[in-house]
Amino acid sequence: MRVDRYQHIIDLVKKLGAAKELYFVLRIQSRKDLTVHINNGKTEETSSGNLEGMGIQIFTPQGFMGFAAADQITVQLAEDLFAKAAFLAEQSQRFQGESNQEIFKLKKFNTRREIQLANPYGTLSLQEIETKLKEINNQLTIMDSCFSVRTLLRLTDEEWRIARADGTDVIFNTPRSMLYHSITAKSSLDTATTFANIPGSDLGVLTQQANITKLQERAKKAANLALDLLTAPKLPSGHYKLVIDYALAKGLAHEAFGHAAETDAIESSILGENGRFKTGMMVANTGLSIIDGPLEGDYAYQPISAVGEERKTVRIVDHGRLNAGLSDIFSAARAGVPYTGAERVENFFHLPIARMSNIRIEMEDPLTIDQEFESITPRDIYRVLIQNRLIQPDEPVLYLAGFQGGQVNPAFGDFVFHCSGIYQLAPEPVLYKPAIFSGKILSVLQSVSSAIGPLQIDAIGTCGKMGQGVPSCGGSHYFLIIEQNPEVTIGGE
Amino acid sequence: MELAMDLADRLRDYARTHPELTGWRFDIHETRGFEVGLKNNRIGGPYSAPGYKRSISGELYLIWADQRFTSAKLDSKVVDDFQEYMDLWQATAYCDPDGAGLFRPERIPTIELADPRTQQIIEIQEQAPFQLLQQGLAYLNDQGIKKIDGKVRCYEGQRILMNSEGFQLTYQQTPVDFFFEANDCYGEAYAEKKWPDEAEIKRVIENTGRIGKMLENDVQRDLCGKMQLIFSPGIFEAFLGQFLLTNLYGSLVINRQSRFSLDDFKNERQILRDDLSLSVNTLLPYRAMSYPCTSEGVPGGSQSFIEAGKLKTPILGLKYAKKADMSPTPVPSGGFFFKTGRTLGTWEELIKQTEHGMIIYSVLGLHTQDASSGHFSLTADQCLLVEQGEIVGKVKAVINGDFLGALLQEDSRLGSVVGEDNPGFAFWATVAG
Repeated sequence: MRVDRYQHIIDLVKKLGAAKELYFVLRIQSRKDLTVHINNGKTEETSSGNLEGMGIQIFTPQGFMGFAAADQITVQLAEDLFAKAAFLAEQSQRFQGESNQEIFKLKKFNTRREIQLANPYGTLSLQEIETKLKEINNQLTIMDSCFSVRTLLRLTDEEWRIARADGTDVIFNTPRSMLYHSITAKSSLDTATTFANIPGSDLGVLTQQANITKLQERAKKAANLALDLLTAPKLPSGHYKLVIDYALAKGLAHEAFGHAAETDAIESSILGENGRFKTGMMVANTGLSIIDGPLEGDYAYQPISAVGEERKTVRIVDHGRLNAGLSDIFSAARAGVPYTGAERVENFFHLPIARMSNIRIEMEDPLTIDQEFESITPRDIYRVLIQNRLIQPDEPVLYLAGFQGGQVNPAFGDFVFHCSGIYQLAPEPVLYKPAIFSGKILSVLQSVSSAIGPLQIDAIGTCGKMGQGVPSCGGSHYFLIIEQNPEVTIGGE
Repeated sequence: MELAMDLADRLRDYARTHPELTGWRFDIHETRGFEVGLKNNRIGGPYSAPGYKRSISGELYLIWADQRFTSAKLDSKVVDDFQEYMDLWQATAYCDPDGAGLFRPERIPTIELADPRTQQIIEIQEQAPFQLLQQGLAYLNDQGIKKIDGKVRCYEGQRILMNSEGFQLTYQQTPVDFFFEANDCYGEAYAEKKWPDEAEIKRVIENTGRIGKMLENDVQRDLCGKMQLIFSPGIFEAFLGQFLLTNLYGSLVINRQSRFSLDDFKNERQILRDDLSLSVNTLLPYRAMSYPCTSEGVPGGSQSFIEAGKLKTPILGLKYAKKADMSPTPVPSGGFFFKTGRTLGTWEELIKQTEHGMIIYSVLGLHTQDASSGHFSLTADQCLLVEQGEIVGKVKAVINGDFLGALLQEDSRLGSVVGEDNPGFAFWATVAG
């Protein structure tokens, strides 16, 4: 890998650390990006970029910290950055900064995790890529004259090398790719935009027919939804019985529980009490679990943490019980939870914080459904619910489709996420404009009563926290059913 | 500077021997600076440790024969590994019949963007950023704020723009920003291109404490139905950015992905109330929003996008200016001005005149909203209830409405706030508890 060539930098920083009796964590990153952007059948832009650099985190023996980073990797610069970070660590001590010595407890760890890509960049020429992208873009634009479609392919080839003063030296790569449509339908009175995507780790998102077919099916659904939204009415605000799809369920797991379970902010999280994680609290019915962990080939894959430790798969909620936090080395002991290696950084310019990777909700004994997710219509969902007596024929139930992102304030337990459209389920479902799903962390999971279909965990996003954006992914069974709850509100009119 | 000159030499040499490269331009930023944070009442802990960062970044645009173009990000290795980069740039060139050539500005304005005080702080590693955090921490502690967070960042940088027709612009700038946040509820920020004076520091810290304290007082109300939403300037700017500014970008307008069409601009369609206007001015000294020219070489300046409620021009880079057959414009960056032609009351009057409303300081989920629709459905999680013109206490609600529609309504109101570029905004919307 490209990061292999920086052994001399690691040796140098080790020598500097030993000479000054300072502990260090050195992060070296090498990233190459390619983005191809098609707009209504034409190439809007093809853009490439390289990012390579290093960040050095220095700890005084008392645990005061300083940090320095640059987007160049040279011996001279490594020396300069080390000196700067050491100076700032001293300044931190002088200004009564916060010290933390937990990192000194880590043991030396060496590993190499290299994913070999089946369809690396180069499998297709740029011309072939453009031709394929234009073809799938055109398939949508010709569906209706009111459509305008942007199609984006993004390939990221990312490598990391992390070394510590204790002799740790880990190397890994986190390749990812994404093929994405943004579909806008426009009438003289209204405009609506919906999205469809397929994630992966390489060009396979574009070369594998199964992926293309899946994206086409998702895109067709999203396009029809955008068209129908132009004339859809607004829903009255209120508390409803709900069915959410797996992408929204990822939003629920991520916004409602994942962030609150990150122990770097446990002092102010609703899942903490006096700075300790509320392990053992019942937060859901006993059939429900929430799991976070890296999966090879996943869009948010990261096997090693940003301080060079193995990232563990964590059962945050285990059969309804709050079981474990997503912890980084600096906060795990303070929060009273085992350390799980949850540190991530956006790039070498950043300090590690606790983050999710792939987060999913799993229910015991889900109902089976004999269709692929992409082919299931609101009418099908209604039929399954009726057949399994999960709803009464005249019961008002909303189906929320398509995840548009979310946000949480873990200190107050408020979270929101947004959908692309809302159907009132009935023999002839009625579409409403999208509205916010808002709720309280500590009550919403209690209302998840059942699940339909197998697990589908490829709902992607970019998770923002403390100014850092990292890839996120996750999902659930095809659909989750949420009973009416006064603390879960659907916005509207 | 050296990197830019070397890169220009390499590109010139290449063009001499490869006539298929007909033009080039690049925009390089070299920055270095310092930042330190305050988390949970402590300065410089594991997540907010003092940090020094330096970077070289930028954009390159190559123009090839047959309407082919290369767009690439630049980094510090571009000169050392020039041939490798050039091979990649050639391989990733794309055909764009609408692609733009180089811009020939008649004159680039000059503007003060480099603050000697900030440069000194970075150069001699002064302790001013630590002291600023200490000042805020001490004041907010005294006010009884339980949880205090904050951050200071100060950078100095040089930007160099060059093109194959001899255009060259170099200037220095010193972006500085800081914020304080009280109890995970409310934060105020400063962002300009100079070190803040004491009055600005005090304003940010005191407002954070004052509003943070008001948000400690929960009141129980069953909120439902229509009421006045009173957006603080920060929230109003965020909504304007999401629902109005986004829809002005030429690429979205011309590709039919905006709320507005190109004909709407050419016909000067009325989209806001006739007293309202939206503009930028990128030439104000030391402002965060200021720059002398865009990366394409288009001069900065004052530009109206909406005047008297009517659409005037989309935000246009060279490509979409050519497609729209209009002039390229400055591009908003870090701020804009939303103004009324009517007499503007104060923020305090806006509240006094509200019988039943909610001042909104924070919303969750704004980035999830469909900008092209103009409709919003959000949770407003940090709000103060106003009854009979008086602030009663903290509430929370789901809010729903048509933001662009509200900017057309006669009964929507604006109120100026000291120290803010843009006013607060009050309008009718629906609320659910």
